[in-house]
Formats: sequence, structure tokens, C-alpha cells
Amino acid sequence: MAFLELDDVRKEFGDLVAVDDVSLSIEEGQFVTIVGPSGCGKSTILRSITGLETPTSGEIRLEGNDITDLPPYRRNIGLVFQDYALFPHKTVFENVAFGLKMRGASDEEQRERVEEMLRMVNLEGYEEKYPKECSGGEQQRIAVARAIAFDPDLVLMDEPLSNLDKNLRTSIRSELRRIQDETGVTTVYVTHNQNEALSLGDKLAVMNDGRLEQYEEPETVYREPQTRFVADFLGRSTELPGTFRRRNGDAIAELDGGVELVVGNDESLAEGDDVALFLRDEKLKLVDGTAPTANVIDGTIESVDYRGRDVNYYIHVPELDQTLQVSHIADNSTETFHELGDRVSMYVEPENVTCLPASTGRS
Amino acid sequence: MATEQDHVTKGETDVDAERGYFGITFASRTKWNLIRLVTVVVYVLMLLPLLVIVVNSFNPSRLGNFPPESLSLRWYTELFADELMLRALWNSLQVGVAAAFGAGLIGTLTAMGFVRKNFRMQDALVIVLLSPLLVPPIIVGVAATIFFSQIGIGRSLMWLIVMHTLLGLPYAFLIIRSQLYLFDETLEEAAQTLGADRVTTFREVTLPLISPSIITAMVIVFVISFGEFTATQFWVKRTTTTVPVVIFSMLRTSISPKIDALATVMLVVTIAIPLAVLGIRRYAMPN
Amino acid sequence: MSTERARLPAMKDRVMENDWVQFLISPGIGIAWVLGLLFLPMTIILVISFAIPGDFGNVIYEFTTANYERFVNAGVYQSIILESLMYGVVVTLIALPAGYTVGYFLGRSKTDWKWVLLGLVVLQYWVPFIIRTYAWIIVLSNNGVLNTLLMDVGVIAQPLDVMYSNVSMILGLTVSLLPFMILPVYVSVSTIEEDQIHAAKTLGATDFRAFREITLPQSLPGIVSGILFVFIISAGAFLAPTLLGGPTTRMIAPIIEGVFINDFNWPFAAALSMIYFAIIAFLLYLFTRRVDLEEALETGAT
Repeated sequence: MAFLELDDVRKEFGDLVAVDDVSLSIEEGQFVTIVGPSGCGKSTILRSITGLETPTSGEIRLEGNDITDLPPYRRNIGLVFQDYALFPHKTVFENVAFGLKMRGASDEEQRERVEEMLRMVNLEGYEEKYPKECSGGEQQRIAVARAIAFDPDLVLMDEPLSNLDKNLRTSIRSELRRIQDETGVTTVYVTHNQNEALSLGDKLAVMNDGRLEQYEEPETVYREPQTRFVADFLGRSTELPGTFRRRNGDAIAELDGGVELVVGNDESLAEGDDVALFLRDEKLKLVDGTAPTANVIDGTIESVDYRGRDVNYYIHVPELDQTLQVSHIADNSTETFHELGDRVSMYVEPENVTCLPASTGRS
Repeated sequence: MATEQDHVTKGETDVDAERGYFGITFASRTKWNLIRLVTVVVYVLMLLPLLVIVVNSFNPSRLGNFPPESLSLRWYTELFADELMLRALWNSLQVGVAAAFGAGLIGTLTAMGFVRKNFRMQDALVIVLLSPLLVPPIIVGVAATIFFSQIGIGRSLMWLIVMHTLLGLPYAFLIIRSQLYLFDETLEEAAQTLGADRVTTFREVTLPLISPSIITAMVIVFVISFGEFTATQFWVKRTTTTVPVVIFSMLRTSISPKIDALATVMLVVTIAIPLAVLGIRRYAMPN
Repeated sequence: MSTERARLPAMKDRVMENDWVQFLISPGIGIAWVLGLLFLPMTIILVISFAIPGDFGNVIYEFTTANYERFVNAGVYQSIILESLMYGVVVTLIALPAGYTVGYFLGRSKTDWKWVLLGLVVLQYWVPFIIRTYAWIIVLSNNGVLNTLLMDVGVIAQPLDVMYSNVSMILGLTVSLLPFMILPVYVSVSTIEEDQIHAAKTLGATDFRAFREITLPQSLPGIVSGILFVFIISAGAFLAPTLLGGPTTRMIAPIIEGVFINDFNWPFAAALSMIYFAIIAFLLYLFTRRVDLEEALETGAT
């Protein structure tokens, strides 16, 4: 029995299915990230776990107890809101102490715990300030402290970093991870940002259109996407349609214009299946004429996007009638860059080609 | 009242803000000066008569020649020796405060109902709620008088309170509702996830945050109640009379500077009480 | 996730049910208050307007259309209502340009005095009508402040006979109602960014064109709200015609009061009230075909 279990949870708003029979289980102490585009249902899942939303059908169990119909104030679950939802008329102390006060903690207990929490988020001495006197990053940490202060069974975070600027996001991201390590509190983190999704969690759930697409360790999800949506959503890649062939024990994808690519062997595919290939732009390597003979695609540079630490080449492949993107770490001291119109060759290792049945998930 | 600098960026009347004072054409300045002139005239018309009342109330002469040759508190002394006047003042204050609380409470519950719940015919019901603003007060006065007399309820302060609550309700509702529209409901959700049930959530989060609008609404209702005459004239008897009714009946008999004194007291109450309440509100709730 | 937030109302109904606070938090009490104390009394006077007047305010409940026939046959009441509406139009026509100008000034001016000036309008709005009306008596009457001053200075030999006339009534009424025009116009104008006007000018608009194309359309809600309040209040005014008006001033509210209090003829007073109310309601209906009544009331009342 897992710590938190979602069992065929479904939520409909009128005709719209926001969450489409999602099952998910989370172990105690885990940090799980749910990622997906806007409107994919991830926030609805979060709100269902807190009780701010009641599923149309399905069951949510915490430590084996059915909590599906419990109002939020009878669950012991902390939620960090996207816009923090700090009480503007209460001081930082009163905000962080609110959950403790609701649970009848004494003044002394409140003071101790709030102090401990503020120390943990590096905001000692902020007790008497009001939220509006704090910066966005500080407010964010106060919200985290408030959600953890009353020692919840579970902490949920709803896009908590989306209102912060980029630099702050990175630093608070690592701080969140540190706080979770320190407290060991089971955490579910919802985001639409794939960097956060990949770097934060012990496990990563990818959602699309109300459905759970894949739920595994972040590395696995990135390396071995199970559906076309996941392959397309995480990282940057180009999707190519093709047909699956087996030849001399090799798994081969036949693309338009006679191009063939050897792909990682996948037992589930059969001769003649329609497949979708995904070529990640960082897995495509520019090679010169002496390179391997297989898995090489030729093309012409269509445009160059110099971005400092890397260079993006957009390479048109006439056979495929497609433009592929190649991301190339720039060695600024020595390298001479290709120019528009240069003919180049690209190579991709078979195991780096994601090959999925065309029928799995849409992208 | 307006300084020369306010020409610099004057909307239509300026040609180009960047060019500042010297870029303004003669025609633009003339137009703006005309606007200022009209404004000054309007302010004089609005304020000067009131000023005359206040000054006159300190004029010991019964004829009220203006400007007064000397100042005295004669009329105030007479005013505060007059039991009817004091009673009217006390009645007006009681009714105003009670109506303010009544309309504040009902307005809050009603506005929350409209903003937070879905029900049918919402638009039509809003117009129903606002209709006391649309029915001329003379008709409200006549209708309520006939209604109460037909069901056998005699004139009392409670009658006034109930009716002034009605007259103030649309204002209270609109003021509180406009604040509720701005209220971030995730704050209530946050309180609930932290363990506050709905009553606690309302007490700890919702009420403190919408209370500025409730206080404003109550002040406005008090002001409306305190000054209401046209409908109220039908609703009072001698012991429940209010200040406006007393002033009106004094005007019918004879014009005495005592009226100026009573009007000045009324002026002070209608201006001082709201300012005091709003001032305390600002002081007590820095946010 | 804006798409999911937008659907919250569906959720709210569920979360809030089964709770005593939720029972209280409903439009019910306010609606009941208005229905019980306004709609019900209005219905009763509608009934009584078809009854026979007895002595001393008594009502004999026998169906008659006599009260309405009296209105139709004695043309005087018709012309009184017509005149009331006309006074309403005149007051509105004076208050609109004057109030708009002041509201515009307050909305555009950068003077430090702006908040004081604005506060004075709000205070004026708070001052009871009876005081605002009474003030004109002591200013305008024959031995009033204006005449005394003018005669002292020697501008005039005889007192100006302006008091107790249509002029004094219209003046008093208009000035009393100016805040209802100034405040909503100020609110509308002050929300128009000045850069819009600058932009219009860079695109070649003259001062007047910029005003007509940019400021005027966007301040329309304020104008509409001002017109609504000024017209309804002035056409139904009681104090100004009673205290400031002259022998030829006839308006409906004092007439209804007279029939009700002096003649003790409740059914006829009820009939006059219903007729006048029907006319106002019809005008409001015409009004709502062009604009949103709720919005106009909200602009004016908050």
C-alpha cells in the first residue's frame, strides 16, 4: 500500500473532462513532480488531493484511508499556491502560524515552530512584516513555510515558481529540494516547466489532456518516452513519420525519401508498423565525410541561431522535406561556425532515436 | 485653485507633453482656462451657500444681516435648550446608526450571495435589489405609510430604521459587492487547506479583508439616513421626528437663525462622523 | 491554469453547501427586504388606487376607476407631471455640461489641490438635501445675503426678485445634484490614460477631435450614470419646489404630498403615485434598451 493513492480519479466540469481516470501512487517521503501543458488537469489533480475539488468518480487514499470526500480543513495537507495566497492582513508570523493556530497549538508552540520554519527558509526576523513588504521570492518562501509549519502529511505545490524571475527560480528550486530533504515531507509538485520537472522530483508524472502519459524516474521519462506526447513535450526534438522494418536483426525505420535510420530495438514493434521517430536536437551530431555510414542524414544549413553557449543549426533535409534542428555546444575559442547554405551531415546513434508506434498519444 | 504648472500635461488641451509649457498653443490655454473658470464657478455655487449658513448661525441678530456685525452662540444655546430639537437629533443619530448596521449586515450577506453563488435570474434580482434607488422617494414614502397603516403598525423608530435600511441597502450592496469582486478567493482556499473550517475562514480571512468596504457602506448609509427627508416626512410622529423634518417644519413657520444653527450641527455630524469613522478605519487597518 | 480557474463556480456550489453560514450568505435576505418593504407596499397602493377614498385617510374597498378618471379628466395633473419631467430635463441639461466640465477638470488636473477639491465634492454629496436647499433661501431671498451685499455695494437699488421662482428652484436643484454628475464623470475620465490622447494627437487629431474620439466615448458611462441620477431625482424632487419654487412652480412630488397629507385622499394619492411611477418605469425601460441599468447605478452609487 502506497502512502498516497489515486485510484481512477476522474473530474468533469460539465462536458469537459479535466481529469480522465488517473491512477497514481506516491511513496512516503517521495518528491513527485507532475508536469504538463496548461489545462492538462494537473492542477485539478492537486486540488482534488487537497479537497478543494471533489472528483466526479474515483478514490483518493492517504495511508489507506479514503479521503475523497473530506473537506480540505479535515485533511492534513499543505498547499503552496501559485500566487502564494498569503493573508495580506496578517503578519508573516500570523501567516506561518495559521495552521498551528487552527490546530489549537499554544502560543509557545506557535512561536517555536514559526521560528524554526523561518530559519529553515532563511527568513529569520521577518515575523512582524506584512506580506506586501516582502519581495516575491520571500513571499514564496513564506508560503512554503506556512504549508509545512503545521507538520502536514503531504505538501502540494501548484506552480510555486511561475511568478518569479528566472534567476530566482533556479535558486529557490534548489532550496525547495533542500527543504524537502531536511523535512522528509512527501511532496507533490505541479509545474508546466520541464526544467523544474526534470530536476526536482524523485518521480515524474507527465500529463496531457487529463490523462497520465507516463510516470517514472525523470531520467527514464526523458530517455525512454513512452508516448509521442512525452517525447515531444520534454526536450526539443523533431518528429518524423516512418515505417518499422526488421533487417538482419536490426530495427530500422524507413522514412520518406528513402532515408533509413537504425533505431534502438523495441520488441513491441512489428514489421510494417507505422511509427513516429523523434530526433532530439542535442543527440544529432554534425559529422564530416569520414564519419559512420549508417544513420547519417545530409542537409543544407537554412539558418543559424547563435546563442552564446550553444549554436542552433536549422538544417533542411530535402529527402524528408523537413528541417531538423541541431544543437551544438559552441567552442567559442577555436570553432568556425557553419554558414548558411553549407552542406552538412548529421549522425544519430541508434539508441538515441526514439521510435514509437504512431498510434500512441498525440503530440 | 489650480496652479500654472498644471498646463504642462493637460490631455486634450496640451499639444505635446514633451514640449511642456511653451509648446502649448494659445487656443489650448484658453480652453483650459475656460474649464477652470467653470470649475471655480461651480465650486462657489456649491460651497458658498453652505458657508453662509455656518457664518449666519453665529450671527446674534434675528434678521441675519450679512456679514454679521458680531458673533455669538445665542442660537446654539437656544437650540440645545429646545427639547424637541435634542430629541430629533438623538432620533436621527439612533436611526442612522441602526440603519447603517442593518444595511451593512444585509448588504454583506446579500453581496456575498450574489458574488459566490450561482442562481437563476441573477440579473433581474440585482435590479430588484437596486430598485429603491429608482422609485422616487415620495412614492416610497406614500406606499410604506399606506402599507404600515393597513397592516396596523404604528409609527415608531423601528419603522424608520427598517425603512432607512431599505433606502441604504442598494448603496451598501453595490459598495460591498465591488470589493468582493476584487477579493481573491484562493485566500479562503488557503485558510481551508491550513485547517480552518468555513466559519473560521470567514471570520479570520474574508471578513477582515472586506471590512473596509463594509465600513464605507455603513458610513454612506448613515449619511443617507441622517439626511433623508422626502420619504421620512410621512413616517415620523412627534416623538420620532428627525432633524430634517424639524428643519422643514421650522422653515414653514418662520425663518430663524436657529435653523442655521441646527443645519450647522447637522452639517458637522454628516461630515465629522464619516470622516472620523473613515479616519479610524485607516488608522486601525494600515493595510 | 486559467481554463480551470474559470470554471470554479461549479465547484463553489458544492463546497459551500450544508453549512449554516452558507444559508445566511444568500441574496435572500436583501431581496426579501426589498420585496416586503417596497414591492409589497407598491402592490398595495396599486390596489388602493382602485378604491374609494373615505374620510381622514380611510379607504373604502370598492372597485372604482374614479381616481384614474379624475386624473384623465382634470388635465391639471397631466400637465403637472409633464412639467415635472420638463424640469428634470432642464436641470439635467444644465448639470451635464457644468458637471462634466468639473469632472473633466478633476480627472485631468495635476494640481496639488485636486484631492481637496475632490473631497469637497464628496462632502457636498453628503450634505443633506434639506440643508443644500435651505441654503439658497438665505442666499437668494429679498433680504438674503446676495441682495444685501449687492445693495450695500450699490450695484442694485431694489432687491433682485429671484427667490421663490422657477429660476431659484432650478438653480437650487441643479447645484444640489451636481455631485451626481461630477463624481461619475471624474471616475470615467481619470481612468483614461493620457497617453491615449497623446497617441491620438501624434496620429493627427486636433484637441477637439482627440476629445471627441478618445475622451468622450470613454467617459460615456459616467455621463449616462449622471444623467440617470440627476433626472430621476430632479423630476421627483420635493424639497426644491416646496422651499424654493414660486407660485407658478408645479411639480408632482409636492402635489402627491398635498393630496396625501392635506386632502387625506389616499386612493387618489396612490393613483397619482402609480401613474408617475409607471411613467418613470417606462422611461427607465427606454433607458435600459440603450445602456446597462445596473452598471449605471453602480457607477453612480459607488
